[in-house]
Amino acid sequence: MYRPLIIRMARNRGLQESDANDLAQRVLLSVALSISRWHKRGPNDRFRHWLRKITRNATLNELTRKPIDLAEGGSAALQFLNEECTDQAAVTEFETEYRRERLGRVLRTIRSDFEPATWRIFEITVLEGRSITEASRELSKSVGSIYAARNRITQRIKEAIREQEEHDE
Amino acid sequence: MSREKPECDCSFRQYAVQANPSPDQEFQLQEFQLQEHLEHCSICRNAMESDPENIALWKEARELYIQRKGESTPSDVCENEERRSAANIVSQIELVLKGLQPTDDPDMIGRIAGYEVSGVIGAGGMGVVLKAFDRSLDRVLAIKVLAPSLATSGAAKARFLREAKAVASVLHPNVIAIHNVSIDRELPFLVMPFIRGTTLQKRVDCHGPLKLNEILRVGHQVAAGLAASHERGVVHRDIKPSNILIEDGIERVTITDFGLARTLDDASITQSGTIAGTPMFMSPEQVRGETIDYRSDLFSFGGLLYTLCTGRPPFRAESPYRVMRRITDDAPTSIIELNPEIPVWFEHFIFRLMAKEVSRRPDNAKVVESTLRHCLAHVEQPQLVSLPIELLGIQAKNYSLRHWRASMAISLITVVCGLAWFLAGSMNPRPINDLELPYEQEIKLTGTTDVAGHEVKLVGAESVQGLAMSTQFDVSRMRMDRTTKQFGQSIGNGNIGGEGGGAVSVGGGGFAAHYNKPNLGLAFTVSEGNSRTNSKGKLVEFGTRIKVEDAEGTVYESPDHGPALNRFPDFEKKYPGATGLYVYRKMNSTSPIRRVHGELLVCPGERIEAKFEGRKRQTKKVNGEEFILEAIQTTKEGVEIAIQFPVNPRVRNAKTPQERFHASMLKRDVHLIQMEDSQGRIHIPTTSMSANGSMQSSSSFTTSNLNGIQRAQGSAGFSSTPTLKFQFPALQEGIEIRSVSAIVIRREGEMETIPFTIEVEGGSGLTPTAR
Repeated sequence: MYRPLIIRMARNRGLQESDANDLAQRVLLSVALSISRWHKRGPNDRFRHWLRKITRNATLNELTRKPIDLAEGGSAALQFLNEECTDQAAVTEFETEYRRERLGRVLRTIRSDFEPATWRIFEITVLEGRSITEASRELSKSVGSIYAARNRITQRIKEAIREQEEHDE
Repeated sequence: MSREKPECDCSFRQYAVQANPSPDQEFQLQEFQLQEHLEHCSICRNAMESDPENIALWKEARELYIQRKGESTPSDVCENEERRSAANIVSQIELVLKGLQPTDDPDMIGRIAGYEVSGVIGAGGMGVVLKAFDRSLDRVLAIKVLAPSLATSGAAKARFLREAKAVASVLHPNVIAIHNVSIDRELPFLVMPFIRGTTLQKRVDCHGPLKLNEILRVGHQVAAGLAASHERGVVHRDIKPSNILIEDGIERVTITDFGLARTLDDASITQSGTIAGTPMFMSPEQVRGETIDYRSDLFSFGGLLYTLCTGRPPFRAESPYRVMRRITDDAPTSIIELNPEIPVWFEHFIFRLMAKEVSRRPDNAKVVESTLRHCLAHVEQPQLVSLPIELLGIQAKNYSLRHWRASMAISLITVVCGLAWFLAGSMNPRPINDLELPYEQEIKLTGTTDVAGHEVKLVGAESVQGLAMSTQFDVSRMRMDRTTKQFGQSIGNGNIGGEGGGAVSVGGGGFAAHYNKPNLGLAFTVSEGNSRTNSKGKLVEFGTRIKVEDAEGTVYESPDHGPALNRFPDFEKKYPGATGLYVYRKMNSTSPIRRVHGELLVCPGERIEAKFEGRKRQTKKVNGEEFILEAIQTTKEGVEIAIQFPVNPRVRNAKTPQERFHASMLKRDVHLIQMEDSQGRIHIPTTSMSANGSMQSSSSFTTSNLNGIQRAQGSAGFSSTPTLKFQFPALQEGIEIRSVSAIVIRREGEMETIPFTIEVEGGSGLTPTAR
């Protein structure tokens, strides 16, 4: 889930494919190493929230810091993982990319649940941002059926996102 | 349930919310009613369109669509590729099945040369594998029918037969047996035993990377099979996980598709000019179309082991041509980075197999097999069997990926515990000029400058490649696990270290930086000598901002901190007396270096000396601040000396975590702590740990062996009363601690930074060698 997201952010910053891959690997490795440090502190604590937070911090730190080869060990370094990133724009970017990645995944999964023709309606009216009447003309279908299909897919997406969130718990 | 009404009925929308595609009739009907309704009801339409959740979702989906439009993600490419080849395979199977003769057995689907065919086992670029039954011998067989697309060429057929004969002559438990071969039919085929099981590829796909002992067990069998066939002059040419069968239940592996790849090469290249199948495991010489020998298989075998370790092939790219490009040009990503559980020596072994240059690979498969067998014995009984000699000490020695013109990011690798480093320091590492550098560099830089009474001298410069090593331990949790001393932790590139500091952390981290790119390294001395302190107890150090300026006036500032010299033992030997080394990464000037700029740091330090009588606590006042020193004879592990620092008011007064964090960066450093025993011998500590054990305390510790003088240095911060404990070797009975001395540095306030410039005499540039 996080890998493509990190790679995308790295690519947005002009890193090459392979460097972006390496960076993602480093982030995920560092996150993996710190997973054991999570423990529930309150009833509203969620592992996935925490995971997202530290992944975000690790990613942004990796992306912003200068490359330093010499490892400096210790908790001071690890502290960076928990350090809030101050670059609000980057945080927002991470969150946006996170939501997009999740949506992209959901779209890929549920796509096969629908007839290609139905999916095409969704593509035209939502993804391509064209009007209902245009879609109805292009696909020679009634306006009502376009509305119904788009709604059906929309509901299915929402449901899938909810399912995924519950599954993550 | 909805009732159809001419006016708007909310139950329609209600219904729509629950709608799932379902083929049942009732649904169809209601869907139709809903559509009819929506055709006219603007209230419902509006309700859908103005639902904020919907609006947000659509907006997001649209943004996603725009962002990724035209961008073909690797997975899409793969899917397309798969779909195309899947269609191709289906048509091949159909063709083969059509070619079967009719059978009178109702359980069978056809007959081929007297064998009853009961089904299709699989299909690939080479052909179709059928499951068949041999009535006369009452056994189940696998029959491989050459793909119809390949069977058209007479030369391919002849080659197929020749290779099949060669493979048939190899009798080895790890090589698939050939029972029969036929080329006189329209579709040539091979008859082999049927093996119930799966391929290594499927194993990795389903279960991810294998465990080390599994890899070794599988690996030595494959190597044994290869050795047997190489002896017969048969080169496999297509060693990859999907060509290795692994039997159900037992870990016996069988190499299949032996030597057939050559048939494939001939046919596919001549026919369409393109490469069929996946080149992912090809060797560089294979990719370049050069003549290949058995050592090409060794490369592919390395790739196979790599895949078993990491769960992914070593070279991946969007297209087969890119993959081939990467095979010839790139170094694969470090295995340890992908799977920290793989030991360094095994990575080293695999990368030796995968050396781009044929002559650098192991001599033959037999050697590889015996090494793997040895490794397996070691992994299963580490107490009894040591690693093979050629892999022994890989972690401690100058571990160089000498074959790699590395394009990968600097990787940091697992290191051993502090003691191992002490030993390693005295070992004989490979001289640095033995390394194969893509850049040739002849640098003889010298120069001197006077900085506030200190003479700073540039004594040497050289290309630095190989292992930079430090033993820096986070030891705040070491108490938990002191006896096992498990420091070794793998780490990423840079700051993220082992585990430490947190409540659930384990052990500490021992770190090494691995410089596998040619870097410029500069060595300096400071006239104050080894102690690096002046008469007032001030510590003189280099700054972190060393820059070099070439003749064209370009200034290079390394992104690197300069590591202490001791981490480059080779360098140290070459430039005795040097006190610091700076490494410039990616320094690619071809113009001579004219100037070196740097900064000298002079830190206010306080020398503490405490005379011990017995083991009493000693309170030492330095500049009005109280340090508490305490010596505790611990178990047979040794003597522990604790230094408790005065409270750092900035830490205590911090209001936010950020403030506290920054305050904690202003660490108290203890330099040159040493203990003198009652016989006048000087001891330095082996490890240190913070005493508080609280989550808030952090400490780090560096030991070094610089020009024969051992020094130790520790820092403590964060805690309100930071305490550093140093572990000294045990004293013999009857010998007491006489005194302890150290220099305590406060890295805040009065630290002086003195910039300096050294004019270089005899500067030279870096010349890229032809490659």
